[in-house]
Amino acid sequence: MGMPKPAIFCILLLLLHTCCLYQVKGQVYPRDKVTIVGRQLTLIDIFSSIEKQTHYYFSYNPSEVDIRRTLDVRFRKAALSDVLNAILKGAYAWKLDDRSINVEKAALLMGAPRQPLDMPDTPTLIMGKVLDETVIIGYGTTTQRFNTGNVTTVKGDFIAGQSGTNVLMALQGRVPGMLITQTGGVSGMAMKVQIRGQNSLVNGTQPLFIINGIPYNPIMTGGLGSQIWGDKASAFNFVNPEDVESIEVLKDADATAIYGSRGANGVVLITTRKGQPGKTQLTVNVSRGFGQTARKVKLLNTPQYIAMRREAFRNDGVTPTERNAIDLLKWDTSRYTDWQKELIGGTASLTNVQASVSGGNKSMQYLLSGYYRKEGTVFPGNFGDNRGGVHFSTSGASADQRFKATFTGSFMADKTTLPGLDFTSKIMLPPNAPTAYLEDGSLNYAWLNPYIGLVGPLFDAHVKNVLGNAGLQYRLLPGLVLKTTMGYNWLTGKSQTILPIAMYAPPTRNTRTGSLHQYEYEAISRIIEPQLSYVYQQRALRLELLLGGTIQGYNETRENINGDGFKDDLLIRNIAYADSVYGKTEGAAYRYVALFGRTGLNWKNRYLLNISLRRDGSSRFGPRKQFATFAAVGAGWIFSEEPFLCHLRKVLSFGKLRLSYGTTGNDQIGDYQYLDQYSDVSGSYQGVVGLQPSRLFNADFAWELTQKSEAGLELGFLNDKILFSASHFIYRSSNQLVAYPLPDITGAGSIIGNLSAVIRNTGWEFVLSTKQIRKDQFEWASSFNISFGRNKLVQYPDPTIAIPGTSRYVEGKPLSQLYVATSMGVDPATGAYLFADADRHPVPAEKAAETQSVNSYPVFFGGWQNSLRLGRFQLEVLLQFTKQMGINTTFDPSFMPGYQQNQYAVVLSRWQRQGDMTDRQRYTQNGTLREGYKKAIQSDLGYEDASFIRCRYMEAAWLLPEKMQGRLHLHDSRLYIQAQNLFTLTNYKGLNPETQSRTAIPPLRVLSAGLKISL
Amino acid sequence: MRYTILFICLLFCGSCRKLLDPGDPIDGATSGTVYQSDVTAAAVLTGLFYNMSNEGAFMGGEGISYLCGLSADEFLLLQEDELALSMYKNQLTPGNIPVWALLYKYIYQANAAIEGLTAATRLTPAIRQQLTGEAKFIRAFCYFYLVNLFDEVPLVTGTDYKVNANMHRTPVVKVYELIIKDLEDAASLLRTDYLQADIVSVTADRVRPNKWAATALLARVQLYRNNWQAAITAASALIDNKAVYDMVPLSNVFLKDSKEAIWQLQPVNSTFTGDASLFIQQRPVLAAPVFLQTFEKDDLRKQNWLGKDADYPYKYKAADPDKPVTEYLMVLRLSEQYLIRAEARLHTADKTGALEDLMVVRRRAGLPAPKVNGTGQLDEVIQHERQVELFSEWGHRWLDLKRIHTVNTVMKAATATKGGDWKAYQQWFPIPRSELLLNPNLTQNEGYQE
Repeated sequence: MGMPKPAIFCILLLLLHTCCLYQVKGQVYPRDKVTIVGRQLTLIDIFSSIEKQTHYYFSYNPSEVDIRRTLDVRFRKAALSDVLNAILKGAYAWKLDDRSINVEKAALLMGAPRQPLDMPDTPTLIMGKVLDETVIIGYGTTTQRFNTGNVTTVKGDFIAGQSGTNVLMALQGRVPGMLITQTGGVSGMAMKVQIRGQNSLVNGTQPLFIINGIPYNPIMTGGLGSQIWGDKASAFNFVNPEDVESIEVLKDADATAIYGSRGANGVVLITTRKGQPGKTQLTVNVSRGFGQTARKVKLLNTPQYIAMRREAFRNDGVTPTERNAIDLLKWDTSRYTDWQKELIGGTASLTNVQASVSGGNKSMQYLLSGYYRKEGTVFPGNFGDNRGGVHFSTSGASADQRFKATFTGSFMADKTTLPGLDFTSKIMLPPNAPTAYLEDGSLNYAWLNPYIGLVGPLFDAHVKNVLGNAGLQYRLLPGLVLKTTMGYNWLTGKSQTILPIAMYAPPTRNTRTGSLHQYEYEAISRIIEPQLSYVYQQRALRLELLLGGTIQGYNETRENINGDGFKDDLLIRNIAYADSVYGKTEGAAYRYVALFGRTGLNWKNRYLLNISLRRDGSSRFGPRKQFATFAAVGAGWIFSEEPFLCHLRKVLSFGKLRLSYGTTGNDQIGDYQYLDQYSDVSGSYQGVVGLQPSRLFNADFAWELTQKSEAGLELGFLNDKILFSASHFIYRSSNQLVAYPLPDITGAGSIIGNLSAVIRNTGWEFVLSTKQIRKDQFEWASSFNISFGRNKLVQYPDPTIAIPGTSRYVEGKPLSQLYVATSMGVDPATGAYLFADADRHPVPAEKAAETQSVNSYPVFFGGWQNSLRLGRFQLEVLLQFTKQMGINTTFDPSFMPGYQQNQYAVVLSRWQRQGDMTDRQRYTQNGTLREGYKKAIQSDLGYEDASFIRCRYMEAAWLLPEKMQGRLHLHDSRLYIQAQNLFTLTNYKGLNPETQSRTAIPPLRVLSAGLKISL
Repeated sequence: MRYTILFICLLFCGSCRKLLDPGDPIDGATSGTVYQSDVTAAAVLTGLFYNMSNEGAFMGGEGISYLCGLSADEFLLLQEDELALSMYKNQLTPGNIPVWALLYKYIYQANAAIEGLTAATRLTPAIRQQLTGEAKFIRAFCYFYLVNLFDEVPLVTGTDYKVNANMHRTPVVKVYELIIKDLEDAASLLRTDYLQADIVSVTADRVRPNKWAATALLARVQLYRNNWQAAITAASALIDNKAVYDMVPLSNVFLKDSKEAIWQLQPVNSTFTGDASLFIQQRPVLAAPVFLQTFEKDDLRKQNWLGKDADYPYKYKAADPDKPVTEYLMVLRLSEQYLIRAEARLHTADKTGALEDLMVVRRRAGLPAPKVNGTGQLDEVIQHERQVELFSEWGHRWLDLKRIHTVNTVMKAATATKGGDWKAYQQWFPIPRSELLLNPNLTQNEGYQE
């Protein structure tokens, strides 16, 4: 497993490139020249004149900067910095932050002018002038101050640190209303992402993900056949988090209606890093670390296990024989193996190297970066993930700045090797199981030895991901810009899973043959979006117009080829040696076109109005319903700007009320679902595999509609030192697409059609950010967010019609609510589970009333992030919390306590003799108690409190001393330690309260240390 | 700027539909493409035969043969299976009625095929004609059973679910009109040869319906409608075709190369038939004592078609998964045609001819000429001959009892021996409850609750 060749090449190239360039020290100040001549120009006129002539824009707090101040100016081709110094002299100070020129009251800076380079790596979300930072929205930008919609921005260096290999992990605990759940601790496993609840009865509720304008399918369907990755493997595993600059999560109608039929579940915009004008800068970041399973569950030890088995036989009145009790009679009953330690107790080593070089001038900027990452697993054996890639971004502009072009691209190559099966599913093996290896070092095939999994099945995958996008823009007239963006994504993967003959015991091998499963996956997403934007500014009015169109396509093919009957393990990767070959090709295709427009009005920086509209067509819908119109209106009132609140300004520095309402659609319903498709029947007749209609035709197959209403209050106190925002939303989702039951005389039991069911999601989200203490040597900033959500099935046309394949839906109750039996302990006479009937009398399983409600959707969740700086020491801590009910994994759904399988230690409290009052049934090793046990899993016993508080991310950094950096020509260089999932506080008894799985490897605790230097 | 906007608008509106076309799915065909080529069009009908042979309406524990046998006086039930027991005691409830959904599924597939083939333009005319004939034959076959099991049924002939989902029940006469029309069409469309799945090559396997299959079913339908002359004509067409169809010894009747076979279904995913699996392997029933008594002394069928160690149906004898396929599931066979013609001849006052045909069947069973006096008595003999010749096959007994209106007298006694209580309404199966819930225009058969 070497480093992928392209990666090595790229890093070398990068280093070479840098060595030549780093001597050329760029200018930290803008070099732009501007010409402004005029009498009695207001400050705002001058600002907009500069904005037109350069690519910078101004950011200021209107309450601090008197933009109506007038002055006479006479600059001809003057340096921008000189102009700025002149016009702001005395009253204000300015500072460059990316492309924004931040203007502040000079007094604030005069006391202790902070070096802009002092703290560049702390999340600006907390540190900076939050309200006036650029916020990326659909087809444009705005600021938090003037935004009428609900957008959460996440940016900063921690994105990579908190992500591991999956950039979605950076959002965990940071975005109010967004629930991100991992399904396991191997990178590539499925991620469940949901924003503001379940808006669909049975269809997809993933947000729309857009990377640099390219729609990105978050799910790699089929997972290349890996059982560990699962059928819904996360395609974000193949995007490098280090390349990501910022992530914006768009939630309400105002922000998402411009995405039309794709926006109902929210939109996540991911923006990658770009080069900045200024000196050429080389950054190298190297880290090493390790991951471990964070938590062990308490299982029976050998004496307890043996006692359990014996008691089970005694209880059942059965004599153990070698056939039913090999563990008692043939195996050593004193042997003990801690299978948790053996199978998931390893250390996953981690190496990460990233280097980037960036720089440029006003007309040309570039960034080039490359990385390599190697990650092991906690399983035995040599499994893991190797990846490398490059990312580049260039942008150029004509001399007069009227024409601009940007080009961004990235390539990643990944090689993953995994066992065929998650070893976590084997930790419940009897603790007295025989040795894994015989004395001669060969595998012990005499029992179902988990170490056979090191021989086969073995999975290896090669995935490549190419993302590229180009943008061209031309300023036709002042304020009028024509722009086109184009994007292309190509995600492709190949995998082989081998089942060699070596998996079988040597004596039987001559009767066995090997098998090979090959998967190929290819997904292509492409998009073109021409846009025309116009900005008009006249005195107190600012008008922004946007008009655009989208042409989008997506194609996916999945090919599976299987070969059986390989005679020799050496030939097993060549399908030509298979005796029989069979397979399947599947695919998806999607086309989308749209026209959209938006009008933004800003009057006196106080009254804001935003109207967006989208007319779109999607191939996923029936011919009569392909086109629809979605619209939204958002309004904001910055009341703190009103004269009557002026006197409060010292306390209430900012106050905004915003409202939005609009419609969006959900098109995550699969492709071709309206078509009367013909598919293969399952076998052949007369030697031919025939076809059958698999679906009825539905010309009226249409989107699921979500009407979103939102009200928000945003407040800033004490010069925005304390920021508070509260949002309340009501989503109403109707037109639900389900397999609608039809009478059998139609030839099909159902048709996928729009059902007039209505789901309502309501919730509150609160964010409180503070910059509590800010002194020269010490800073502390924190941000706390919490979300409450509630989901309700408001209307269901006919509760007697059960939707096939779904749980029971009850009007007025949450979709996630289950109805289960109520446990009444164990029968003191027999040791079998008892349940409450309708009159709350104890009865056996078959008479139990399923009336107890259990809701697995979190009651609330959120996060609390803290940034501390003490001198040259920095600390970033993110605590994540969730209050929820979860699956009680101490119940093994396949094996009752007493079977030949280990159990959680909680079973020790079982019923033993007549009269025992307990809540665990007696040990048994046959099926007599099965019904009761199954019912217990489906009762309130099967659920437990899975609330947790977790230290999701921690980073401690030490900035190298200024002198030392200066001597080495370094800046912004530091040593750091990062930790993911450092600790979890929970009463949950299973492996992990987030995954709630007995069989999947839980998210790991990862510790790493690294050095980041910038030249 | 105005022009630019206009231009963009034009650009979009003109070609939106085209831009939205994702092409055809790569993992299957659609109704638009499947009837464009001979191979895929043929595969649709092949798929239909596969489903019929695979899904259980026509064989095994939920097949017509078994369920009708249980409902009639053919079997002694040994198992406590809920569905079988309710069939057996003639106490069906509208809860779980098999057959209905599958027969309508095949009708939908046949309707879709007829629609698609009618609109098809690129198919070889001969193949298109043959496939249309097959589809019409299947539709008639399914309606024949629906109307005989459920009485009036919705007559679905199109594929628009919005129309179909709300259909009323159609009078029996109308259903038979369609059945006869379809079979006459099928008989003229279908070739006389048995074809392979490519609809070109001829094969010895009689597993796709041909002209003679349509004619044979037509003979039966005409008999059921008391159109005696038409029944004689149709049956004669088969009986006279000695080169292709002939009576074979009792033990060879159900073999895959049986010359008596007019249409068989090939077992799929198995090396023997679903009925063999049911009657021989699972063995839920024995021949009912009342039925056993009706066998004449020395009837060879009693030894040959009943089990050696117990009296279970043993028409199919192959049930060994390790042996190659020797038997196909018999759907239509020549012996029935002789009995159809015998009955029809009797009703057209051709007693000699009737006896002649009857003797073809009796002679093979080793039986002498029956001693009969009047016409009425000969009719009874023919009905008895049908009972012992066609037992455990395709519900012949159950359908015959209803056809000749002896069902109430016979079943009153028979149901009592089965532990039930016969009511006249029980001769029709109830319409499934879920159907009534989803389609308010449907009505339940008289006598059933809900």
